[in-house]
Amino acid sequence: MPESYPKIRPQWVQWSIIVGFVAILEVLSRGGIVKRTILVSPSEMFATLGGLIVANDVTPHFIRTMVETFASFAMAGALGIAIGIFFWKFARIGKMFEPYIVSVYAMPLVMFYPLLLIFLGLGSPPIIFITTISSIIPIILNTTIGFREIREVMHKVASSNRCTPWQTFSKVLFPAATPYIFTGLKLGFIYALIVTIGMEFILTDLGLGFQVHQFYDFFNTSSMYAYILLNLIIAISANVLLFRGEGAMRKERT
Amino acid sequence: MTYAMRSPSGTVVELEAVREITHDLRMGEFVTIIGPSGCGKSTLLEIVAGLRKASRGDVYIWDQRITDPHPSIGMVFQEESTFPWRTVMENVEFGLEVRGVPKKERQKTCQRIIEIVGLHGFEHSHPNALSGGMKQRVAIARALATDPEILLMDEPFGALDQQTRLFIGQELLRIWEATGKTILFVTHDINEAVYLSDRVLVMSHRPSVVKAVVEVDIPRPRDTTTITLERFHELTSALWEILREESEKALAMPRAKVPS
Amino acid sequence: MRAVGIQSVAPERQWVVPAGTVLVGVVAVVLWAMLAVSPAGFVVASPLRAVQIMIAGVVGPDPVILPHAVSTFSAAFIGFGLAIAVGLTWGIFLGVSWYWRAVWEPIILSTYSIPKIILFPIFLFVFGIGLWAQVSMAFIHAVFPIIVNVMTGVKEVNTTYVKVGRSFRANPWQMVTKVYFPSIALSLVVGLRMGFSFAILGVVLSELFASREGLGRLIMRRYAVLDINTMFAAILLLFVVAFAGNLLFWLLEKRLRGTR
Repeated sequence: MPESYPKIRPQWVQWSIIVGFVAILEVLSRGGIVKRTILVSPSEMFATLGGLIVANDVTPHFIRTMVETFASFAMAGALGIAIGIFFWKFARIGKMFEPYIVSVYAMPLVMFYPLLLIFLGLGSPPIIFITTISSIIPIILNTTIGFREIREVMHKVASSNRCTPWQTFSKVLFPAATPYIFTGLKLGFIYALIVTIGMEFILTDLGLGFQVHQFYDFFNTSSMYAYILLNLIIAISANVLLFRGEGAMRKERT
Repeated sequence: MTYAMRSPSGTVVELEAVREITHDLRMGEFVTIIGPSGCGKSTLLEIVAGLRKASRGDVYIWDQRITDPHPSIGMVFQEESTFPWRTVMENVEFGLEVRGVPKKERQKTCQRIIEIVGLHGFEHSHPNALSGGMKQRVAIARALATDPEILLMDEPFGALDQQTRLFIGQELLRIWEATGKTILFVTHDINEAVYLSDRVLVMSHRPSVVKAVVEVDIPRPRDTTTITLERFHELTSALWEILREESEKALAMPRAKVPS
Repeated sequence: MRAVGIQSVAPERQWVVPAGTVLVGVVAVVLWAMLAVSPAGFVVASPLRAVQIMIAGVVGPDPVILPHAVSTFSAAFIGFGLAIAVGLTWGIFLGVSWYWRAVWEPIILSTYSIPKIILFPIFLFVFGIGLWAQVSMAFIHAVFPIIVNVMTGVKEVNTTYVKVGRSFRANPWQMVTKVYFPSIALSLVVGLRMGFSFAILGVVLSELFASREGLGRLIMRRYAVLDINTMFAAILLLFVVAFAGNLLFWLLEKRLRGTR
């Protein structure tokens, strides 16, 4: 807690930084200080994006990206929670796999992408494959930790009420671990989105990331920036929503 | 040599916690301060320690005004304060290390202190392997290592259970007798206050003044049988009566929100 | 009272988990080898072959892989170094200042989650194809986890430890080295581990998109001509370095966690 409370509220400074940054970009590009081949003004980015959306050009790419993201996330979620619980129940085995899981977490799995292209061909499958693996790791880790962190006393409460194993799991343990599981799912979704867009950007035939690459190749900076903007908006919105959700959940429980 | 405290008062948010204390502490004494919750005992101790600044009033030790931690004053905190990344020996060495005392000399001194507090054999353990009582002993040893004349202890046994507290209190008396330090001890526990000290200062509720000074004339050395003595019971009852009135008033008052 | 410490886990069975870990690795390699000799094997290089080519490609008479490895890892190294410098300063600054943390934290957390590779074209415009475009990707990927982790570490420094340091009159330098740094060490290592991995990730991603050389580029080109063996060798090299680096940081992390 500060001893002297500065007069300006942090949120205002925050917004002025963001607005200021956008304003600088606007001035640099419109003022001709930075060439059009390098930077396009934010207002033009929005305009171009608006036009593309209205003309339905964005739709097939958006759908493709969302399908890949959600499909990967769904599989990662289901499998990840299951594996996470397994590694908690069989802690010894979990510990044996731990160094690999932790190392793969931040590994450039994208390096396997060309390999998968050979196996699975161009399109969604290789992307979904790598994205699922990227997404599943934080889910596994957080699920295992979530169950491990349950206070001993909770188990005792279940025992003293003569709960069956299933009741113990479903009525006591799983609810207790839910905050951690949610954190894992949050991270898993963010990774699913980022990795999907990243892979599309490198090489594929359709998708929001792919479009950035396309327009870069065609020297169409206006549309390229429009899609960069769209990707940023989607990623940041997803992030904000998930963080809010997590915050709401924690508030409810304390 | 005398040690006088004159009128320290105030905390950070314009709240008067301690109004007036004038007291002379004799060297080698064990003095305890007790008082109702929120009366500012911990604040007072931190001001004496030089860790906090009084907004009005001063603290003098040997005619020196206290504005920063004084080298001849050691402090043991209420919260767990041992550094988890250092071994017991390294924790105890901390004060001497900061003063630039060479390693060999440090270790000799600290080894002796570790034995005095009864932690022989645990020199190379980390605090997270020790019990609460042992961790506080490490904190006491660390404060003793720099050989301060005065030891300030802010509810050091607060987190321990009743029985451990009794035993470690006895250990503290043993250490005190072996080292001849002057101890200023803060607690909310009346039994502990009477058991350990030569004199008990009772603080009133906030804004506090010294409401009573009680001499504890139970002979030394004291041990765990002391609590069964008649005189012990008389003194604790008397203190409880004085304190009860103040506690009732304190409980009726809104709790002070002191930012840390 | 005799002091009683807490025993750690019985040492007899401590070899089981590491042995299991090694076993998992061995099984993985065996599965890989089996895949290579299976009907699908024409697009899979056997482990032996991959290792052979990898080693030959780096230290052999005709090191085809070496220049690419140097390009990738030097870009990652430089980017990582810059990320540490910037990340540490920002992380400490934001950790210390409540106000600026309130201002910047939402901005940083939002940008943490964007697919930063799509910004690569901008850096290509600025730096052209070459080392600095790659370094910028390494930097932008690595700096975020470092800032966030250092910020959290500094924010959560236990104020009690700070009080202890001050009560022993530690000077600012001593406070930094003996109190603050050990307190944030664990968070720092976590941040460095992620920063290291993301630096490599950033470089490889950008090489796959557009670069003159580098392991990512090599993988793409070998893929284009279906030179499976060299492709596997390059992937293997990347995997080994990323895995080893990550493992080292993680072991350090575990050691630090053990004493906290």
